[in-house]
Amino acid sequence: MITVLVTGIFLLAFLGAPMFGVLAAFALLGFHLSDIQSAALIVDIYSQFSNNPVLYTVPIFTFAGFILAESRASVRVVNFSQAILGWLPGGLAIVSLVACAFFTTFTGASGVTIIALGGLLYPALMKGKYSDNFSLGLLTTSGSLGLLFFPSLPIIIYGVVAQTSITQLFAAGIIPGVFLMIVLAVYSSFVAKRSRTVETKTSLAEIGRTTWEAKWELFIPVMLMVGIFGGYVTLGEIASIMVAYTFLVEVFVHRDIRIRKFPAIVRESMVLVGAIFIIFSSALALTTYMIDAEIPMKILGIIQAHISSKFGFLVALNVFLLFAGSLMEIYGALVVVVPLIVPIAQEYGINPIHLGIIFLTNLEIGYSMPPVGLNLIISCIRFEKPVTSLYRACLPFILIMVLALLVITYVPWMSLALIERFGIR
Amino acid sequence: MRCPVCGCDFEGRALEACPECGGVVTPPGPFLKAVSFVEDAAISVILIGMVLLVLVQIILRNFMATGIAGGSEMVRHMVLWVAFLGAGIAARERKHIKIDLFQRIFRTGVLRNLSELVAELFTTAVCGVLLYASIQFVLNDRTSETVIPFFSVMIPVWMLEVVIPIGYLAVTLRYAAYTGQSALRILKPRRLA
Repeated sequence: MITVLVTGIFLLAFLGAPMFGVLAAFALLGFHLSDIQSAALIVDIYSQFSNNPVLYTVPIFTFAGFILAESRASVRVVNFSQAILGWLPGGLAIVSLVACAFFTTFTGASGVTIIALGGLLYPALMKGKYSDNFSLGLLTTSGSLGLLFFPSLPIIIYGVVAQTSITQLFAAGIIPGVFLMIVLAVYSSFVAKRSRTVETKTSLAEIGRTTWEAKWELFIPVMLMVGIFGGYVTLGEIASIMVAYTFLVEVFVHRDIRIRKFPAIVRESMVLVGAIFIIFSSALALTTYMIDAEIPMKILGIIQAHISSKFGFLVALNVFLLFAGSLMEIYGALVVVVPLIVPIAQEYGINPIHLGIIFLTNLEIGYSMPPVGLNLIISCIRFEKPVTSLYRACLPFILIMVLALLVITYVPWMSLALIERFGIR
Repeated sequence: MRCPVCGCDFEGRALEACPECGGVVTPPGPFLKAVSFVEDAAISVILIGMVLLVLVQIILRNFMATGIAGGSEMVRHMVLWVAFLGAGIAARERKHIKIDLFQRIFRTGVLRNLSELVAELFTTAVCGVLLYASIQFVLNDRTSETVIPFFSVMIPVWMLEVVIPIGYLAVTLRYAAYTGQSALRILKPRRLA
């Protein structure tokens, strides 16, 4: 009977039932089996919201990111990176990587990056004589680059779910995030050299001009780093300051957004937040049940019977997460899988902060993984290409990112060096 | 936009004909419009209020060495409101995150409509249970008379919790409506063709 129900719910998930409904159904089933009233499920949700000290940063950071996305900040950031990096071999491709990472960091890899920057960068890449395949692959996989940087929503959600220090996660993401970008940049230069792409010329005057134009946006990462790592403000305070700052800059300084547009920006950003939070709520209830039923320990027992080394566990974890990332979309994967994996990984002696970076890197790649990685679908719509042609276009990028992932996984130093060096808590 | 007749997705606004079958999406009536307006206005006010509350607290703490009584509890409850109002709006705009593998393979036709009908019916049922559970929860806390002080006002905690059933109600009703629409699509295919 229970097997039938569980299979049925899984089936419904694949028929297109919303994630939160599927998770809630599992939770309700679990509560029913343990003879707990369904109202207890709401108690779990409510107590998490009313006690968690960082949850409120999620809507505020999202709002700030959507204000940025709505303005012409993307053009200014692209122009700036073009002036600084455009002269390198494969310069335009590297510019795309940097600009996409910048945007994803602030908009949380919700597809906004590909939608907002795709229209700007794709024609530019075509004009620069990059191949269609390369350009599509680059923009599709870059749509989730920057996930490891501060203050991306997946990092905050991981911190909340795994109950680890978010400041430490921010510091941990810097080196692996930059490493991923460098690896992709090197590959891009290599391809560009071979296919004789056009590089732009640059001058000091151009660098000066574009820097000046983008100065307000470029100040944001500085403000965040100093604020958080300097210990001057809390996460929620810096989030609110960022909203006020982006509002003032984009509405009054650049005059990019009219006040009239704000209700729409609030609605769009809060629809995303509502959709994430309701999944989070359902997953929370499900987690309570699973921990109560000691499911992580049972899974651990099964895994330990087959895998004894930390090395082997990490390989299995990566394979599993890449698969989950392509299938589940990031927030679902985070809120469901993290509470199960964290206690298991600890048994294998893996640092939860390092685990977080492994997790997020996997999901970053999973976004572009066939068959249904979210970036593939968004690119498919944005560039009006058949999804199968995107599979081929993304393949080299995915392979490179998987290699980088292996390095990030087996060199914990990359994730932990800054934390230890600066004693970040 | 979703075509109400054949169920395919197309670019366009209300009152424009669907390119597949010529079906027309009618704009929502005055009541639904009013509900949407109230939801949008409420979530905007709460979000902006939340940001301002945090900013005011930074100023108070740093320059006057004081704070607002119950400020941080209030912020946390405002997130609860944003979350559940947002979930209701996400249901309105069909933006809830799902694995739409099946619908991507079957873009139109009976199989797509049937899969949606089943998924929506299931969601309505689950949300119905959650709605019931959340009403029980609020009623239970209503008798407990717990309060949260904010400035000098004592706010009964159930008044802050009431958004949970409101949110689930909004989602339940909308998915019930979608279920009905999907059923109609299957029962009366190509009504306008």
